[in-house]
Amino acid sequence: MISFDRVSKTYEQMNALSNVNFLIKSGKMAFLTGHSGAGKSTLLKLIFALEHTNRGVIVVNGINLQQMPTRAIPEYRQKIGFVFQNAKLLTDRSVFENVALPLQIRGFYKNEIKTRVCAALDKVGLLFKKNMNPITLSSGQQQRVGIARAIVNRPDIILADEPTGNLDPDLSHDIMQLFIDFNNIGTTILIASHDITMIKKLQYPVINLKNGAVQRDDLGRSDE
Amino acid sequence: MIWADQMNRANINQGNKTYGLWVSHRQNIISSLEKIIKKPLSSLLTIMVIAVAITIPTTMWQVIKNAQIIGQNWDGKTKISCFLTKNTQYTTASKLSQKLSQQSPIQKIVIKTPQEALDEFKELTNFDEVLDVLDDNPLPFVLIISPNPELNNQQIVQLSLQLEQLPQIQSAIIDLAWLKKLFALIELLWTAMAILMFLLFSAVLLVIGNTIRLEVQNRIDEIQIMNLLGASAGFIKRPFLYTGFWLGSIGGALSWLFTFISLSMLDKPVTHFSSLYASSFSLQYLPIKHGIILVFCCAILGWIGAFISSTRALSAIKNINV
Repeated sequence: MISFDRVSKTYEQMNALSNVNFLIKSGKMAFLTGHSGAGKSTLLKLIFALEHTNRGVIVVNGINLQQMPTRAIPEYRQKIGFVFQNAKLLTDRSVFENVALPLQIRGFYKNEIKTRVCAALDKVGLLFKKNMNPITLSSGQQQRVGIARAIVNRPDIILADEPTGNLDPDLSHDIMQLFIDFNNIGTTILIASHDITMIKKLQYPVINLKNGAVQRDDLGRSDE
Repeated sequence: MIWADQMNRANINQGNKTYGLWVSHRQNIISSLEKIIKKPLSSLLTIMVIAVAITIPTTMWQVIKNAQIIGQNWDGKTKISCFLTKNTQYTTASKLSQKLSQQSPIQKIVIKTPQEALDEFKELTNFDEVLDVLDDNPLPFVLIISPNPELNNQQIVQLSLQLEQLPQIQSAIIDLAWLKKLFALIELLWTAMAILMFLLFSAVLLVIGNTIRLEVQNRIDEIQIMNLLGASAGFIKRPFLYTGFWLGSIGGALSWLFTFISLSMLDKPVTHFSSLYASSFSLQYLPIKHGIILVFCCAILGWIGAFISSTRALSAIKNINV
């Protein structure tokens, strides 16, 4: 569950977000659209506790982010899978070790890590690449490794920032299908994207941002 | 504690099992050592600087310790030289010697005749010709008194004062002044060493701190990603802390070896030197207990250096962008 209640964020007197309200219920999937600079990244950063709001209340999975102390942020982030635009993989280690990172952070035993990482890589169809260096993979494959890393912790929520930003339509479709699969098993998903044509095809609710304000929100409609 | 309740509630449907800190600690202890062993050249310089910096005060410490032992050994051999009045004859000297020997604070008396004293003086100096010119021997009889070894320095001084009261004795001199000077010198050296130790240990802290700072800079991508994946500051710092720990302990262990080598180089000259004084002194090496303490202190020092440095370096890169 992600809820924004009259949320505003300003950077040095510039309004990044102003009076944003929406509610994504648990297990739902939604898209976040808008031109670059409309505030999509800021909104995701707020949910991921990388930034603090100036006004308003954000509640994620029952946790009020304004009341959360700084030291609780790492544990909070462990429960959210974040898919970054440029995958953000470490090139000094294998695909397997990249995906294993969130589990190492949580202190899992080696055999447990192995089982989970292999399952996650299998899910994104890259198990056969597990011993490769991410540098040798195509950008679509790298993005899928990034997704495997985001889901390996079995998060309740997945946030994705332009996950198909630099991929061709076929690859984009495959990646979107992965998110839909995770949503089908109950994961809450919010994807920031400016790929309007693909979003229109997929028939999921959309939050449209313009100059930091919600212009259109058809989240309510999908519930009916 | 509202947030904690919320966190717990959020945890229930998660159902994930985590295995706490120990797994991560154990991994880091091993992997940070592996990193040093796999790339020995990059760590070697740091380790050598630490080893040399620690060897200097450690060797000095042990040398001063040895000097102190020499001083203490000499303590029991303090002698009182009683110069008898001029023109005393051998019989008088011998009688006095016999009388004094019966006193309990005195262990042994050796009579040195004026001729013996003159010969000794000639041997020690090059005044042969000058002395030959003299008509008669200006030196008096000397009673060299070894006090009972159970007497302490103060009681020896007391004894010498009593001896001086005797009419046959001109003056009684205790050969203790140089010992006092030695002890004063040792005191001075301890202070000097404490200062040196402080400075060199600070240098070790700085060297480790700098190495860790560079290491943090080298791994900035990794740190940023770890931060995004929900790693706590403790988790991110842990490998750096263990690297500091290993650099410190390897440097400390090497300095123990270097101290041993330095002291073994001193062993021969010291043995030769002490044999000249008919002393059965042998050089004391750093005891194993102290060596272990040394390595342990260096490890702690490395850990602290790494902690300060990584905390500073990480706080500088805290605001990370997605």
